[in-house]
Amino acid sequence: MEEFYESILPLTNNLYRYAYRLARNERDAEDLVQDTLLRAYTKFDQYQSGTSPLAWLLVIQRSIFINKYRKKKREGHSVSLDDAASGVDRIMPTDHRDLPAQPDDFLFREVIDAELKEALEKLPKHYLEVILLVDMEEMSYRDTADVLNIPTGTVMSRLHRARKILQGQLQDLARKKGIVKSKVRPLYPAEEGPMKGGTQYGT
Amino acid sequence: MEHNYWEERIQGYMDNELPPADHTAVKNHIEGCSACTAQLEYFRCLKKRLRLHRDTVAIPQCVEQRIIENVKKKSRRRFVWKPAYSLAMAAVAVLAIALPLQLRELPYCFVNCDIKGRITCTDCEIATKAGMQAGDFCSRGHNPGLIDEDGRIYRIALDKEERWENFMKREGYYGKLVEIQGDILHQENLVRVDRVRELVVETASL
Repeated sequence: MEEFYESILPLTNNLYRYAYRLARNERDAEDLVQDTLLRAYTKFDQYQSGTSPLAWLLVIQRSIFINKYRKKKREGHSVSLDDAASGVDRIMPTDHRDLPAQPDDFLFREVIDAELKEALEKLPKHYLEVILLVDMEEMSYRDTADVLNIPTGTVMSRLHRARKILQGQLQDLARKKGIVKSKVRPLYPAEEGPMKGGTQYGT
Repeated sequence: MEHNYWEERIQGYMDNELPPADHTAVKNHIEGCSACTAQLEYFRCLKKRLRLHRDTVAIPQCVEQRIIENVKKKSRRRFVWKPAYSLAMAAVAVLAIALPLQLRELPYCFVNCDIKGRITCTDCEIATKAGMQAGDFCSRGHNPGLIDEDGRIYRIALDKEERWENFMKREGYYGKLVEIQGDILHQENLVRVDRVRELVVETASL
């Protein structure tokens, strides 16, 4: 099992990052990572050498997370892992004139980490996950598709919507700060109500 | 509609995930479309910003140590299933089924058999196993028996008492390692003695 200790344990930080973004608290994240590593240990003979160990671990972690989520939901607990999407008015810009003239200036100087964190937390989970995997963990579409158990095409379309929603939220922030003055169109008409995300965990 | 079509592909282009033909098509489109160029630039910056933001969440060192220690500790205790164990389990299952069947199929009679073990008193053995004192059950005298290497206790049938009596007369037979040639009723752990041979435990001498 030396191979396990050498190839898997160094990924603990990656697992924790993903777990924390999903669970949104340190305690659940720690439990999730520990459960993931223990299960990975018992199933290590199923790991195919040469494939991405992170993708393999995240499949396990996601499975544990979903099962815990469902269990807590069945037991009627208020779930800290719940999606924060409901009630959030998401916006998706379609007009490129809304874009800041200097996006790097805007994103790196005007948007602070706390604001970006808040914007990410408002994303429905299935959109957040593609951002976490592709943009943050720099995984390929194929590995992301394997982790999420969806087709590669769906990864691409979810990623598009996720980035656009994020862009919309940041544009909204820019507007509030007076950096961008034009209005952006709501993602969905008002009568449809806010988009609810992450329902795949409960079904 | 057309803009959305290109916009989705712009991301695949940026992430280097498009097939070569699509990659070239998107590249050609971007060169002639200021909106897509601006959008691509925005997405690139957003991706970099998100990558930078990634590290705002990091596992505290003490938590990482705690997790790794727990995993190492629990994984040592945890039974890891390996394919070889399946074979072992299958063998055990076959034996578990076959042995009782074999015993059930044995005729209820004595069969000729040799058995090795230590001469003992069956009642004393049972008393000791039950956490009581040897002699608690056999105050009127020991009941001769034999305990084999696997800890099974056999009673000695007294129908061939004469031969047994001869053996009994020898001093200090209790605790002796012997080989009994005779017959066994397996279902009842009962041994009829024909001949008893004391086994000498060989010890190395200097």
